[in-house]
Amino acid sequence: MRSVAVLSVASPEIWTELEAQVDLAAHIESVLDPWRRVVRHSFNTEVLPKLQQQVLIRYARRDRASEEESRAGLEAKVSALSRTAQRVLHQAQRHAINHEVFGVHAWDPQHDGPDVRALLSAELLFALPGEAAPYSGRYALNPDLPPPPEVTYDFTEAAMDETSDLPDGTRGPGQLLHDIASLAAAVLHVSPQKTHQHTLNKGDAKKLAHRLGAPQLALTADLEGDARWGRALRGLEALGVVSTGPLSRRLELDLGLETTLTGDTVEAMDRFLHRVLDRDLHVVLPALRQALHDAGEGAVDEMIFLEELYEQHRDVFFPVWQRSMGRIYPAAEGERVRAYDEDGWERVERRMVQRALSRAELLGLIRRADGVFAGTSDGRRWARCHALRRAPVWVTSDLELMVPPHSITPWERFQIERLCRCLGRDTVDRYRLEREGLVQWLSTHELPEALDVLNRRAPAVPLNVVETLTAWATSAQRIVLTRGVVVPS
Amino acid sequence: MQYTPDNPFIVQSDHTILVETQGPRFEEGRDALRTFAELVKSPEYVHTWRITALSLWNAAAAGQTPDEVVDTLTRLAKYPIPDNVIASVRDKMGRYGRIRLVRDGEWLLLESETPEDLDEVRHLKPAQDLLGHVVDSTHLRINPRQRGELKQVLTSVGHPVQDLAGYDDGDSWEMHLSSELPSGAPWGLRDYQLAAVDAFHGGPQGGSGVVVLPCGAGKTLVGIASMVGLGMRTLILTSGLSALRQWKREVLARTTLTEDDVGEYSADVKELRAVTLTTYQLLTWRPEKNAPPAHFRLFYEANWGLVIYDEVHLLPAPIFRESAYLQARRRLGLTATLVREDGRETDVFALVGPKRFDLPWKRLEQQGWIAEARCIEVRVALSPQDRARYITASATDQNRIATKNARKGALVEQLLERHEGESILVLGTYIDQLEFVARRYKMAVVTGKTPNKERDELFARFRSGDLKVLALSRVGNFAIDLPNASVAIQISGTFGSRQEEAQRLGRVLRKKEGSNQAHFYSLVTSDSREQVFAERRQLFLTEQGYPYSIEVAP
Repeated sequence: MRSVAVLSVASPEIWTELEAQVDLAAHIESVLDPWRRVVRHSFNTEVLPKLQQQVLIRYARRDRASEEESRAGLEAKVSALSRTAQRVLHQAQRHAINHEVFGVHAWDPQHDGPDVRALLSAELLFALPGEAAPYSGRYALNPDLPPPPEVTYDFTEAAMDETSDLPDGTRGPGQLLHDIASLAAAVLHVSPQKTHQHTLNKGDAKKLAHRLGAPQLALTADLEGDARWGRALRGLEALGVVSTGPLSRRLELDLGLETTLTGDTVEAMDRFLHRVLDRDLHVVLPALRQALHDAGEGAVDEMIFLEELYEQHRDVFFPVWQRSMGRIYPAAEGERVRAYDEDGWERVERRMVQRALSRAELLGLIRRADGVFAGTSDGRRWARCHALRRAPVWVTSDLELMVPPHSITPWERFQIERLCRCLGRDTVDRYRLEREGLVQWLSTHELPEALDVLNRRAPAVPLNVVETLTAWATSAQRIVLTRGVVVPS
Repeated sequence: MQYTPDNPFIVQSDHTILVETQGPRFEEGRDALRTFAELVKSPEYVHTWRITALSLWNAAAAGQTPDEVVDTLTRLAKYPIPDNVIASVRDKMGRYGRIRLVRDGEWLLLESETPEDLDEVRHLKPAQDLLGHVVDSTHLRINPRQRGELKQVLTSVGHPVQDLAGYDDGDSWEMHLSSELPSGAPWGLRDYQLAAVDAFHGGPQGGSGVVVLPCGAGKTLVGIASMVGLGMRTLILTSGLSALRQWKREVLARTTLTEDDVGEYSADVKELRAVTLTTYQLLTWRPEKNAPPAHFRLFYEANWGLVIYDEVHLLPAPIFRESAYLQARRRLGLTATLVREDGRETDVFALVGPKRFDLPWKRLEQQGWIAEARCIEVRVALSPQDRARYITASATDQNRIATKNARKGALVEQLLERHEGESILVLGTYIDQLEFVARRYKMAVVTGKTPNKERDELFARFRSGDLKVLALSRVGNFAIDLPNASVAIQISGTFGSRQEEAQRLGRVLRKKEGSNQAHFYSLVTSDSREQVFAERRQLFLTEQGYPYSIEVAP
């Protein structure tokens, strides 16, 4: 298999048009069918700049059918594993970041070796180079693996009424995720340049402000200094989904954001927390979430929460290593061995939980007072204490979208802002569908997916909107150059 | 955030109000909004209204209080109202009535409730030349000649003047609405026309303002009924000779006035009668480039009780200026689209009067008062030869090549066949293209060069059904009453003019017998600059809720 660029046209007559302008034959490698031809690399450098017609540049995507097929196959493989191998796999999944895990964090290299081997031979796990001792180095999990079963907790004992010394809530990650989605879509459109002082170029900041529907930002052109959008930019950077081109100095969106945003708002919040929270603290999140859920509109007694956590699932923090001297915490070679006992809990896990609670407070998930904590509005949402009543999104025949509060998820916001330009952010955010947005969309997605985004939350999409988008897409896709198409060698 | 799903309003901090049309309280909300906000656009599902300083002053003029407005918004809002909107409503409405114009014998007085308000006005630079001497700390003397200009200036700087100086009554003239047409058919005003007349005359400042109704909804009848309600000498300004003659026909048919009472003041005839009709062109005509308009004296040659500005969105600048001196006369503006490309809507408000009545087009269509229109954009490709020329042409030539696409001719023929037997208008901007199509398919054509007499004959033949197809250049954009036209085929348009598209659709909107169905076809060259312009042209109608379906010509 090899990757090639394919030039395709809406109708074969267009080849004649192109040939009238440039010597096309010299840059064609092979003809796939009357509409598609594989082009040589020289087409990009010699022909594209000379063409007087618009060419849509697309990037081939892995098709959904093959993804689903792969997932179904993995589920079968997981169920065929022994119970102990399944336990090791799930533990590894819970400790993994971006599908990568350190063996010493996930299992006992001495005792779990056969199970790890089983995972490797089933191609659910791949060893990454540079391992010093057996089963202790870096491993990659198959990205299509089904998620591990959730650890069940019960913190009803810890639930209590809110105390008067609990502070008011700060801004949580919910709004930040929406802002991150909006800014990411604007970055895709503008590709802003960074100056040598590592700030955004003023002109590009104004363009971003125009796309974001932020007139105040357009005046100052100081995105980093803007309370809302500066925070969103820092959020994007913290997620590690933007990078600056070494030569162009342009800010580009990397892969990974969609994976964080996908699903409903709560799922996106959860994924976001996992991305920004220290990786060793991830294991505390399900417990914290359950505690907030059990408390509902009330608060959680921190002392009882810790006791319950110890009683119910201390094992989620670390894989216990069984050695001759007894149960110990995982330790690298030469490291001091610590007994896995009650004192260990006080010195290790309890401190981790305290640290996780501090981080959760900083991220706007919880409010804390002495010995007690309670969810913020976003925290309670994350813990699924209550469901918000969704208002519909309206799509009108003048190609506008009206998006009320809490009516879409961050993922949907990202898609909408890729397709539309924001006209204003207010009680209801207003967007306009524009040809430029659709053309940008078509570089990686298909028109039906755009229509699906509109239909997802709107009770109805006017026919003329569908027709206009179809007409724009037809006109934009008259001549298409698709890069990264995999063909047999 | 509190959310009340059944309520229709979403109040934005930029003072726009989005109104959900599908909810159970939509009608209640719309009727409430009409009194203090302006409809910006009304596509399906969500209408957009805006609270402006002018709309709030209008509401205050009609007797509403800020508390009532805030209460309406709170009662019907889905989400909490932004604080700045509440503060702004109270502040802006509070300004209205703080400065008033009242009569003082031959003079006018500008009075304020507090000395500070008047002090502020006295220190406004643009107003200084228009103010007379100080009577006391709350009164300033004003020359009645400055009434319009002063109102215009003070309104533009945020100090609306409550004009309580009243109007000079014109000479009375006995006139009534007739109960039947010359044909013997009975007729009466429709509910919304009566409401428009009442809105014009009502309120403490009734007697000046603008009525906005779609083409074919009977704006002329609203004007006639307003005139009859007043029973005074009336001057009617129209957009052209054909419109003038139409008005005259309607006035004679719908009232008890006779030929002796209704005069035409045009280039051919100079009749000064109880009801006198003239055109903007004639009024602004100058014998020499720098000479003053020769016919402005018409405004003062009779004691007019009412001046009617037909198609007020076309009002030329010199007439604006002259209208500043007509503030003691009652004034009625009529239009279908209060969209001025020059942005002088505020001058219309200040000098002709506030908007008194407005109805969404689609609502009249739903009630069957205007034809149900289907707008279709037919996309046609260029021939391979034309496409090759198009690719290498300059931007201007690209537009010309696309607009005059030769393949549109064959499409016109297909559409004429599709609607055989119906009364069809073919509308175009380029005369050579229009004449070519007219010659090829043997249709009569009216352009700016066609003499008035010939035009009137052709229009009469079209109205009678003797002529089934008529080609019209831009002369057909305004105020031509061809009630039986049910199909319009637009073969070319003026760049992205929203106004032109709306007016052209208006040619086929008059209520039809039977199916009450009209078709508006816009022929557009696909994948071309014309397609981009077409999208912009369609904006006003799209905003009014007219969806365009798209057909692709084979």
